[in-house]
Amino acid sequence: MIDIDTILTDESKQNFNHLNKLIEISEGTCSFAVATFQTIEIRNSIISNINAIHKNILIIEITDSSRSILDQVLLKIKYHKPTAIFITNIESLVTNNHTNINLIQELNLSREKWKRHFQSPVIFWLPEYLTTIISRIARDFWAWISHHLYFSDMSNWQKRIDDLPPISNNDYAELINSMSHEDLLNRQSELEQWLNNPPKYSQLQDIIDRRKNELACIYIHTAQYVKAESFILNILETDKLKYGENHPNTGITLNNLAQLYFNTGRIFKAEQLMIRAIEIFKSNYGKDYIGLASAYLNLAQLYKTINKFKIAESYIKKAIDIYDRYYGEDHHSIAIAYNVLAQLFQATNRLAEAEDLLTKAISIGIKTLGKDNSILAPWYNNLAMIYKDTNRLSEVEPLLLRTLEIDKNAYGEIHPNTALSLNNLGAYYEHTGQMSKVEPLFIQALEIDQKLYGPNHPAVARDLNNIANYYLDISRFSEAERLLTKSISIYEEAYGMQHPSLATAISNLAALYNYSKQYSKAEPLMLRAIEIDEVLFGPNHPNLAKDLNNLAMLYQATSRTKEALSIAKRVIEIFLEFSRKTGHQHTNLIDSINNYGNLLIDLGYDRTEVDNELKLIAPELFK
Amino acid sequence: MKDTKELQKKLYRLFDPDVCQDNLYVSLDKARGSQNVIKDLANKIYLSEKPTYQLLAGHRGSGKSTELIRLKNELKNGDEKYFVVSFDIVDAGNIEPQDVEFSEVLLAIISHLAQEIKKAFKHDIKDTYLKELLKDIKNIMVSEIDFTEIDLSIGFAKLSGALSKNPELRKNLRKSVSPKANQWIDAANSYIDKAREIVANYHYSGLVIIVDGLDKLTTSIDLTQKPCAERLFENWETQLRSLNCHMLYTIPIDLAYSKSERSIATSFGATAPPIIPMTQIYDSDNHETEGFQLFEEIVKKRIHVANVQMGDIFSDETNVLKEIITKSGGQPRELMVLIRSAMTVGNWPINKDDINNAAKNITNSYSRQLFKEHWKEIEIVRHKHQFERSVDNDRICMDLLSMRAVLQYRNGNEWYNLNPLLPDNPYQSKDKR
Repeated sequence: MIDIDTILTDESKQNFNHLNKLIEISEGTCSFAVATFQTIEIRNSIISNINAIHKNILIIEITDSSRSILDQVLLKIKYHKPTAIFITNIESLVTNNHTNINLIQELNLSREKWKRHFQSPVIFWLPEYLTTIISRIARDFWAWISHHLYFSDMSNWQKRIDDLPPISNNDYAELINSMSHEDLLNRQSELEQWLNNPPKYSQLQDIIDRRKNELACIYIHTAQYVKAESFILNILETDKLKYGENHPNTGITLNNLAQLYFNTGRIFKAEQLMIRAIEIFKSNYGKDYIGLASAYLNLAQLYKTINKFKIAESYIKKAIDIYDRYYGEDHHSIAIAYNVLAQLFQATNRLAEAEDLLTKAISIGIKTLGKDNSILAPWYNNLAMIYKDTNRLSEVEPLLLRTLEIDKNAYGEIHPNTALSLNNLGAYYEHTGQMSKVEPLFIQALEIDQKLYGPNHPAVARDLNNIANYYLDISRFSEAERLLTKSISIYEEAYGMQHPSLATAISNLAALYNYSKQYSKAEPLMLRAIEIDEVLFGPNHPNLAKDLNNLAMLYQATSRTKEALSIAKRVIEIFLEFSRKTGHQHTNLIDSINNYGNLLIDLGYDRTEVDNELKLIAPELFK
Repeated sequence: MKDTKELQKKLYRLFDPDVCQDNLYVSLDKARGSQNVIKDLANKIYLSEKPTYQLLAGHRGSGKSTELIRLKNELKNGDEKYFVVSFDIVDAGNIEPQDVEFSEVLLAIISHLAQEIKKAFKHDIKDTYLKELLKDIKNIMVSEIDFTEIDLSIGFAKLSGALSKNPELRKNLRKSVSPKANQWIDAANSYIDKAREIVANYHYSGLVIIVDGLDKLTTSIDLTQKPCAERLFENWETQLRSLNCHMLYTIPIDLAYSKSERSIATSFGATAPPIIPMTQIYDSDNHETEGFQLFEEIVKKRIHVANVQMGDIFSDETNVLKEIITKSGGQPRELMVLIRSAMTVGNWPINKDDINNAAKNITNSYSRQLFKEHWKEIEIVRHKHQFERSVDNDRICMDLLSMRAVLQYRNGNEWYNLNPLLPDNPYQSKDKR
């Protein structure tokens, strides 16, 4: 048995005295009290301690769900007049079932029906989760209670796990984003342990669903995709069986699965699931449901990657609309949405608008969260990227340094976000030719990610890729080749054969071979990158155009000019299409036109013929 | 103090929020502006030739039942005497409170009317139309209920008994009654007309039926389903308004604020259902009001009855008492609960810390109940003392009233304030960190 004096918190000890006194002075009067306990052990030791002090306490363990609690008490009370009535094991009435409506109703009517029978206090012993649930749905009962007692011990993991916010993906996202990686892993093992063997009283499906959902989010967030996938598919199956296809819980799970598919490059599958989840949320909660906003933002990010900019924009605006109505203008959620929209604008070259939005987001962020809040870090970073794109290089470095500083302060030196900031800063130095500063930053980022995730993780692959590119820049080919090969094999292992990051790595390796004139090695890689990007993004994506452009250059170098020509033409068409669709010229369009022109000249066209040909393909450039 | 323990027991008993003793009664009318609520209800009945159909709502523990007793007395003993049949549909026990339909309500009304008339005048009303319909019911009954017996009220008593034991029966009853609802109304009215004749013979000005307890039908466990009372009023509002005598129904306070409120209220001939508000203890400039003194009175009366001094119970009596009253937010029940709880928290006399400890437990319980969605509305009420109601936040506002996180006051205008026992807004402090 637990020694309550050494193990209870001070508050609980006080409540123990409270309960004693209650029993002492309430003799002859009926009153209701709720005693909330953290574990069965705590409940048992408190009850036995109380039992040792007071005589005649009637303890009723509810075992029979077919009879009302009152009947079960009345049955026993016939034989003696208690000083207090303890009702325990009410949780057995809610097992495996959302809530027992008869129980709730009986509790709600306790004032009317119970009071006339008893002249002593009635204490309901409830586990923590049940207190939460009953306080929310048995409002009448809650109003009739005169005493609330809480008993917990000083170990707090159980408490932490029971004090989670209610189901809402928004909350998890914010919570998980704000946690350090180490905390996340601790949390993960807590959850795994808990779900493996939930405490007896916690059979309640609600809580288990919540925990599973949180664990899925953690798996995704920490890129444990293999684990995540089987776990989520499993949840989905039970959800569908238990709640049906159109239940919000199923929606939440679909959304998680979609996120996983998206992160691992299965974009079209992800799209379908996201849309499905949105439909479910809408039909259950209406079009203004706050959870829809983040779902819209996720879908918009997806559309952005496959170049459906208009749709993406419309979804972001819907999200902004919901946030605006829900939180008002000055809330960081709106700023988050602005950031997403800004990235969309940046991708379509609408840099002024993007800058405007980011500035707005940052000023909201500063106003509501303070200028050094970690939520602002990616916005500073993105603003820096705009400055880079618009050639205001002097403004870039201070912003990137600030991002890094914030991340370090918020998350510590060893955190994925810190690694990301180091990478971004390194890439900037590389871009501006400050080569000596690049390598240490990239290596630092790599070390962090290796420490966090081990040697075979997508984040590590990304870091290797960065370093390899840098080696390529400074002509250390063999090292670059080694790193790229490693990076590719990590991606293949983590994502399977189709993922944008894998395509990028393959394409980089191809570029390396191309550059070192090992064309026979380069060509199959290029074709593979093209294949992946075409599957992922469809036939009209700039990423694909870049791949095709590489191939055209290779054909040109290997004297297959005609083949090169037709590919180069397709490249132009893709960039043109992009420019027509977005109303903004793609940065690579002019290059692609020039390449095409050069090919024509190689084939013996003269200047006028080239011009005529180009006018035909891209009339808008010659007005 | 002699025999402390006995005295403590006595005081604990005196502060029982569920017991109403005449010698402890303190009228809060003036301070909460509710005198008009009861008077208005009675006046409508006095002034109307035709039957009136009225609603009454109130917070849990605002004293709705006490006020209904007052209304009943007013109607019975006023210049014009009315015959009042008043019953609590939940206490009567023949219903399933999370699933009440019109058929049960109607049968309960007829049955209570029959019993009251029988009790008061030793008179059994015979009505062939009703008897004819009751044959339907007889057919679905397995047992020996016989409405052809002379005594209709006994038949109903047996029916109630059978219903409470057999849920299947309830289903069959509905199947039988609901499709013929209008015939049932006609029959009930034919019955009511006869009852009115009888009470007129005994010089009553009319018949009033008060259906209490509908406000207890608040359970909505399945969130996709509306609470039972709301469904009842939405689906059967016409029928509830077709009985041929003065009717008064209590409704849950959240229903008084629901989307359907306006349509329900309008059809019941009011702009909004009258609500029994909380007692105002501070005015907008934070000065103590009459309500504050009345709350002091509530405490003092009980302490006086126990035959002790305030100082025996409360150390630094004025300040401690002030603290309790402030924390009660003008809810008589919460006042009692706080005092009871404080009595068990520390040693007597009760000091400020004890009050705070007692309050802390209630505050914690609010932390459990409030979602992020609630806090936005709470902040609005904090600053504006009103709800900004829209189609979207309907549920949330109802919810806040229902859990008494937001309290309604009345003096002059209707306004709202936060329950003083609410915790700090966790989302705000988090944002600032």
